[in-house]
Amino acid sequence: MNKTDSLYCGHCNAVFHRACIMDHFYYNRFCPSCKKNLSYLDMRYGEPAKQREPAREYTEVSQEYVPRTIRKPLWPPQKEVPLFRTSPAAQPEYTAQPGYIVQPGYIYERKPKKGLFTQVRGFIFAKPGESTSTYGRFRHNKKGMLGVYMLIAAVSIAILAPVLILYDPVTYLAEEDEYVNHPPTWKYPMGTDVFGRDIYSQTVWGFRSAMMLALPSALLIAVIGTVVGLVSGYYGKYVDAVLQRISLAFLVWPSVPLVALIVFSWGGSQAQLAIIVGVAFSLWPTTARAIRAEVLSLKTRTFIDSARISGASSRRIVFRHILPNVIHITFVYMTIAVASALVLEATFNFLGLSSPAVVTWGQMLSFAYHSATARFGVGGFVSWWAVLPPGLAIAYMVFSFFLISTGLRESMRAAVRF
Amino acid sequence: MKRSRIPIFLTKRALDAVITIFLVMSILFLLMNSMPGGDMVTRVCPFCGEETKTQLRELWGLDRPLWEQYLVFMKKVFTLDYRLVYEQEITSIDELLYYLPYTLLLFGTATIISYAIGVILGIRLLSRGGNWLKTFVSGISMVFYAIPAFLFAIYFKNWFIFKYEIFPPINIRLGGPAEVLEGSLLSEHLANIQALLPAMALPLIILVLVGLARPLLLLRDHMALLLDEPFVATAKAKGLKETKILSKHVARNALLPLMSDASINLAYIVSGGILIEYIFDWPGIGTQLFGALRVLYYPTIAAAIFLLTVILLSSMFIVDVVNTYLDPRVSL
Repeated sequence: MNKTDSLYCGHCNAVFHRACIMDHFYYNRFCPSCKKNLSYLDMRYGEPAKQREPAREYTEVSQEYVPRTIRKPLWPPQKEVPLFRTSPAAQPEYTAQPGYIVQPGYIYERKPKKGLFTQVRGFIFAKPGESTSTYGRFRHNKKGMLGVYMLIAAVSIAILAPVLILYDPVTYLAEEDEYVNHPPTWKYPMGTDVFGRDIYSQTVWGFRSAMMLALPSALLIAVIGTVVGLVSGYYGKYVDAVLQRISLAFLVWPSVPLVALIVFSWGGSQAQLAIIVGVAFSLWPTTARAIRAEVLSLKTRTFIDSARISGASSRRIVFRHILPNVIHITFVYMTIAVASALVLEATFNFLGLSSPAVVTWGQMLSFAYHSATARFGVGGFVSWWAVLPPGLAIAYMVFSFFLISTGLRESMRAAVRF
Repeated sequence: MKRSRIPIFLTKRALDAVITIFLVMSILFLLMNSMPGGDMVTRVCPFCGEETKTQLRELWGLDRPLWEQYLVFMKKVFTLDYRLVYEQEITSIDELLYYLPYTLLLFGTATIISYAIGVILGIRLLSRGGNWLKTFVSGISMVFYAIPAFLFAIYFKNWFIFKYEIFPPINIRLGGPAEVLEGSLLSEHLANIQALLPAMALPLIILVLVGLARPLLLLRDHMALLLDEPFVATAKAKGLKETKILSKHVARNALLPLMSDASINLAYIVSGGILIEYIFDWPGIGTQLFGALRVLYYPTIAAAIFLLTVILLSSMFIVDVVNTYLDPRVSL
């Protein structure tokens, strides 16, 4: 036997011929010997140095089909069988046939709706193998759920901010000189900045402004991008051409000068609104493009054809049949949008295009840097306690949304594959 | 790709580019005309007398109706006539074209390096062994993806240029096109680039770190998808090495979505990168644009937006052509 002709399993060291094992792995995903969930790449070349454990005996697995449920008989004898599920109310001439008996549980009957208790129990105790929807798989995705928990924590901090803060984040100034620009102490858990403002309170309050900034921009992107993507993907032709050109124009507009011009035209007090609009303007084309590509592939599927044959209007097809299949893409881009909204906000604070009355993390960072530069010159000492909390808070929010989008993408991918 | 389709493709793209530039500049016109605080005359010369203001308005055509101004603006956009008065010899576009090579140098190098490193690392991330190193690499790239780039720029500049003096600052002031002698433009550019090269290191490092994450993570995702395909099993069964399978069979297929993503990624690199240019005082279009935004000098703003659009559109065009060359399924 040639050295490359034999492969062995990395787990149980069972040796196989490469042609045989390749044939096996074309249809299966497990090692024939140890039955572990493996792929071809887990096989190794050559023969193992020594057998780790004796190869188990091959136990006969019954390939016979064991029915788990008993199908209902096809009763009454049917002359014509509808191709897709319809409600009895839609076909009165059929239900009015003399032999027709409404069979509970048969295709014409709707499934009985689960009670609240059953739904909650299913939500809590559902097993990963049983979940078939994107949402169900997302709930068992570790990364995605970690991101969701991080986000829930952030939202609750934002809601509870008036309770959690120790001092007023904007107006409170430390009276004693020794507590101005002071490292963390018991009185000020994260220290104070050069004005004597409490950094802990500011950081906590920053969660509020971050939410106020991130959620509207994400919502705007979701709405604009999804609608444009759906319309341009479904209707095609001239509509598509026009919308594609417009989205290209917004894609190439650099976001920083765009927001700067909006801030100039609306004034610094509207900076938050300008950033929301600017982020939405610069990010909706990506969403629209991704959704358009998905819609183009969905359009050719048979379920759209059957919907059209059954007389659904194109608006109904777009919003009832296509939209549920692309909405997860919208969520992915929403999460990305939130992250870039926070980053852009911090950027604009450094450029000095924001209102000082709103406490945000970007403003705290900018203030720490500029006050240190004004005092010690460029390259001077920047107090770490003024930089770390807001920086970590931005990273925390961005990372949580990044995890959510990763989890969504992973659970979407499984949906695409099978 | 048939030879006869190339002219049609080129015409289409050119038409697309013109339409896009038209839309971009229309948005700019809308923004500039919706600004409160008086028109451009009031901004440029706030303490002039009423007579002078009226004269200036007549000179710049600001007393005419808005639609006429819009038409004139569009004409000036497409004839590259970015100047305030007709006597101005060096227009804004000349000035920006003078700074264009430095922007292209910085962004071109950064994009190429970040894609090269991203592709190599992305391939390596899926190979067997070195688990803690792989976690470290993907974690670092996620960190640079998550934390704002300009923050790195500001603090890196603070520490590595001024505090520890590891990298040199930019200590050359370019005179602009006004001080260039006749016929010596190329040699001057070369001399300037030679003087700027040591200072380019730090902005380049930051741009590469920021641009690295997207190709790396994307390539890893696509390759993980492709690993289950039968052709990988075939390659493995042929007795190929793992490195060869990953780089020659899997990565080549995974590169195609990466290339189609590159045109969007380029837009983000450029729009974020002009700020890094501004922070490091790199003599490029971004610095000029932000300088103009500070005083609202309209001709330079318009010219910079125009040039950035043209750069992006042409790089997207190049990406498309390369994509067509790589992917036999895509035709022009």
